[in-house]
Amino acid sequence: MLRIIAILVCFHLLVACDSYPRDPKRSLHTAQNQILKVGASEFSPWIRWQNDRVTGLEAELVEDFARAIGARVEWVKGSEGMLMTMLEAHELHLVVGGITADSPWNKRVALTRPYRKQDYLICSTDENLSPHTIKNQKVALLKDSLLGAQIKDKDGIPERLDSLENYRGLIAIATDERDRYACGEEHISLKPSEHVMAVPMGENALLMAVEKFLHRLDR
Amino acid sequence: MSIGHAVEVTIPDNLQADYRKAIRLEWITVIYLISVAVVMYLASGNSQAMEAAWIEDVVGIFPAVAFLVASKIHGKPATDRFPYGFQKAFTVAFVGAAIALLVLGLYALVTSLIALIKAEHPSIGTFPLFGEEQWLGWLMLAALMYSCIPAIILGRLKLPLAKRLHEKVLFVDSHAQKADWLTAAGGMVGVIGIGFGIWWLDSVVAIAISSSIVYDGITRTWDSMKDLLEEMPMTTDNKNIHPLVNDVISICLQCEWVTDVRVRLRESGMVFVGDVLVIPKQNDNLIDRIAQLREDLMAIDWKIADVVISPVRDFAQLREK
Repeated sequence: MLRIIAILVCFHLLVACDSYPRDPKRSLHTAQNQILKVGASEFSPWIRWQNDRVTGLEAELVEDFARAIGARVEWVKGSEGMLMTMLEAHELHLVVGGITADSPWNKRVALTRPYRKQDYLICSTDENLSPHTIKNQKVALLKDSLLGAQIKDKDGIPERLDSLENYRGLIAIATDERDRYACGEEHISLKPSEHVMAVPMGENALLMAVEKFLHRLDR
Repeated sequence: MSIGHAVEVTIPDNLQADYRKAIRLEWITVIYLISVAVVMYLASGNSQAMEAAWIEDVVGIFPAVAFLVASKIHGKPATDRFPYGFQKAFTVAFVGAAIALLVLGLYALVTSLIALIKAEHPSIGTFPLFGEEQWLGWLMLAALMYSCIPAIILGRLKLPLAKRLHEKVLFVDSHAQKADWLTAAGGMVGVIGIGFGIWWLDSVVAIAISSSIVYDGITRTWDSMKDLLEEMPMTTDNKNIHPLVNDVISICLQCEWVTDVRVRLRESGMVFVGDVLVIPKQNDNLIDRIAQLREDLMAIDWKIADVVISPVRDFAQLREK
């Protein structure tokens, strides 16, 4: 048993001198002070492609992270499937685009710990309509919202619209958007989504750098 | 009803304390192993070596539980349906634990082989600790230490009890826990290797750990099969025939009224039972002589729990060489 402790102590000293953990394919090393190749799949408000420019919440985070490691971002456009496949093959450093912790890609790429939890709810913009149940009721949601499944689970009828401004009735929105749409107090809480970013499987130094960056923002 | 019920075995006073201590330690073992299973599960992340170590720890719960259940049952008095009593509850426990070990070991071996062949690179991220993000690998190493140090201590405490009580399940279980340091060390090598970017070390270590579990599983299953096949009582390490067998034979041959004897014994849980066939010199006082011989044989050791002595003309009913 003393042997184990001795080994761990030596090892600790070793680690203090050099970078630990390391990337088997040196991903962080190739990105640092050089080019960070990022795949961005379209998913508003996380990533929005306009012509060849990327905007959105995650686009800003990625730019900040790149700056922190002294790298320039090279954006790659594509569908989530295509980008994840490239990530798996180590052709990219990072993939973003509203990816959630329950992504089915979690066995083939490494997902960070969730950096953001997005809450959702159904509320009413019509004083005469109380949202205590949505059974057989129409519930309006934005065109690119993923809440349709949850509405159907509760026997509601999803109605996709371009905009929810001036809509009178039940709406399904992100909790932080509540004030924007003048909702009543009463609401039904929906399952939250936990947002992550993806790095190649096994690139633990890169994963640690990204996670450290993302969680520093929480404070 | 003319069904003969076997008498319950009483553990002699000098071993009562050992027996009670063994039961206490096994309860502690079960609770500790469940906590280890939870801790390791929460910390284990992606490492194959840790998963193999986790399986080895979880599997340890089976023999401990088996021992506790058997100890509750074995003391029950014999019934019409179970006239031989419940001593063999320990054998049942042994078989169950051995097979569980083998099956789980095979599962661990196959999954780690697949991981190596598919060249899976384990991903180990971070976790928050006091406001700073720490590498999850450190937590995994801490969990591995928690899984091995108390186990080694428990193993060391139980082994002498198992030897004195001659209890196989306890023996094998405590032996496994004493060897736990090897598994934990393997798990640590795997995690440390991942940190150095040597991703394949993890699968290789996992294959080594699960191979040893499979080997253990095979030997224990074979041993438990031998028990079921009513092998002669052996020493706890299963290497030699138990010395009590010779004691029985020599006491029989020392009787001046005995011409020849054939002895057959088998293990029944913690004790030995069996048959003794004697060819007497004369037929007089046979019942008294047999009764006396039985007393003498049972007095050799508490482990000789039941012998049925039959006077015979010759050994024609046996397969003589």
